[in-house]
Amino acid sequence: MYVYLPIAEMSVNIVVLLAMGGAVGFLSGMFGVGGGFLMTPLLIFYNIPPAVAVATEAAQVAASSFSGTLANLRRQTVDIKLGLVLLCGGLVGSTIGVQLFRILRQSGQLDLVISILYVVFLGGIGSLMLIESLNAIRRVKKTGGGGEARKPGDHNWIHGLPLKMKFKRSRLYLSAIPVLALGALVGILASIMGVGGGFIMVPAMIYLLKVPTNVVIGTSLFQIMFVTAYTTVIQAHTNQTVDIVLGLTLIIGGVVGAQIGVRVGQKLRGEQLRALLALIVLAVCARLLIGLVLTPEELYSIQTSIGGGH
Amino acid sequence: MARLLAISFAWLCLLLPMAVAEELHIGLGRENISIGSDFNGTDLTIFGSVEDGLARFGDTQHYDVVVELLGPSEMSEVRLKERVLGIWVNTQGRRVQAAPGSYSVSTTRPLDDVANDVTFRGLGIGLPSVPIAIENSDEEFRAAFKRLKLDKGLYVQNVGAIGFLTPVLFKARVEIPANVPIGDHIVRGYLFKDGALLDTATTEFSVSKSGFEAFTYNAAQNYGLYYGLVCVALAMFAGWLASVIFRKK
Repeated sequence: MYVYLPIAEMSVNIVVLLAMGGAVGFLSGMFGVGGGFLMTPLLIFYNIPPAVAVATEAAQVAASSFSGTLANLRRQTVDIKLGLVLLCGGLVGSTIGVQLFRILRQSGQLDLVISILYVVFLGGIGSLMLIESLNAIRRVKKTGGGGEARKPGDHNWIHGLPLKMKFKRSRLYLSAIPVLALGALVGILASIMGVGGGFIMVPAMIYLLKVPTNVVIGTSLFQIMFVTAYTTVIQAHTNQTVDIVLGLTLIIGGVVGAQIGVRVGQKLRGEQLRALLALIVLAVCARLLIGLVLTPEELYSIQTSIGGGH
Repeated sequence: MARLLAISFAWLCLLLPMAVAEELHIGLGRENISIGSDFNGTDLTIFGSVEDGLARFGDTQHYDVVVELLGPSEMSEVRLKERVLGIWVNTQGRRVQAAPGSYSVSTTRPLDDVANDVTFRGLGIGLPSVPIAIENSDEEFRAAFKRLKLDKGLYVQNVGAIGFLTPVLFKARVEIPANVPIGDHIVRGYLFKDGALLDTATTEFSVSKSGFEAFTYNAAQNYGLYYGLVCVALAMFAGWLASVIFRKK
């Protein structure tokens, strides 16, 4: 069954799209991740123009992080003040990112930059996750459970920066500078890579900002929701590359997949889950890397309507 | 009486060549192709007739017909990848100032049999003569452009696609691919006999998005900001709906 995507201007099999949305949704539900970093490369492998894939993915991440944020707000696991400061940085980052996106697209380097960013981030995060989870599995086998204890009140250079603010919910007294910078970085990634950026945000909040783990997920989802929503609007305005038909199809597949994923995920052990996710991430990374390194069958390419139709 | 006969014979001699001056007429199965949500390519029927005033005398001529379909002219850029530090990077580009977005040529017989190369090149007919205005008239990039268009099924040659139903009536079915460019397409017909061009005819059809697809595309192009806001609202609504549906279970 084929459906015509009005913005991507191509005919695609809707069953394949729903299955892709469902599979990535399943993984994101199982592992508690956004899934944008898997969905965008998959769309590109399926020949959706990278510009459309990235911009449309922002809308899908907005949808999935919205339902996640609602759940966290009900559980009161969101530090709204911290989220808003992150958001300020995020909006600036996203605005810069969309302009970078436009410039890269005009100069014909967008696809390359998207692939390189994915290889670097997926490779880095995937390797770290794999090492960490393998160590955890080994530790569990040795000691029979129990994680490492973290010292409270750990301080690093970040806590020496000026412009300090109080974040009551997180019980933190912290400079606004690293928070804004983190928000901005994630904003840029959201607009160029079509991801929520949770895979950067969550570790950075835990290890750099020392945000208590119980509010990390909720707060990052809160920020991601607004940044991706904003990114969607700006992408639509600047680059005209948001495909609503593609977006909604992926959302429907993703929502159903995520619910199944959550149930399966509860039955598996944390370390094993993380190791599995790490392997998936590395596989996608390898596939993209091969695409960059292997001699392409066709060295030439055509880009029509330079500048997004205007 | 003999005088009268001589005069009428002279008249006939004058009239006959005029009656033999063949005329080509072409028409299309439809003037508008609309792209809806289930569009995955379609067929276009082209039909036509040759008026030669001879058929009624039972004298069958062997005509050849060539029909070109030219899509709306497009600007684009052809890029070449080269290996830089181990990875493949677009390093060179040539602007294509104007080229038909799609091009198909259908014929009764192989072009070589219809007329010679020089004739076709002079008329700009056939894949080798598609008018592609490229920066620096770079032949390598022009060839690459054509090859890519062929691979995408946008440039096509349909040898033998035109068939004569009667000595003067012909019909062709041309495939319109799913990725056909939006806009006005020109159809040009050429009538040949014994390698010589006798007449040409031109008509056109348009390809447009219809209904929801047209609405969405126009909204995205002309009202990007509002379109973006609606997309986010729909996405958020879907997210909220999901959280409500699955919370109750």
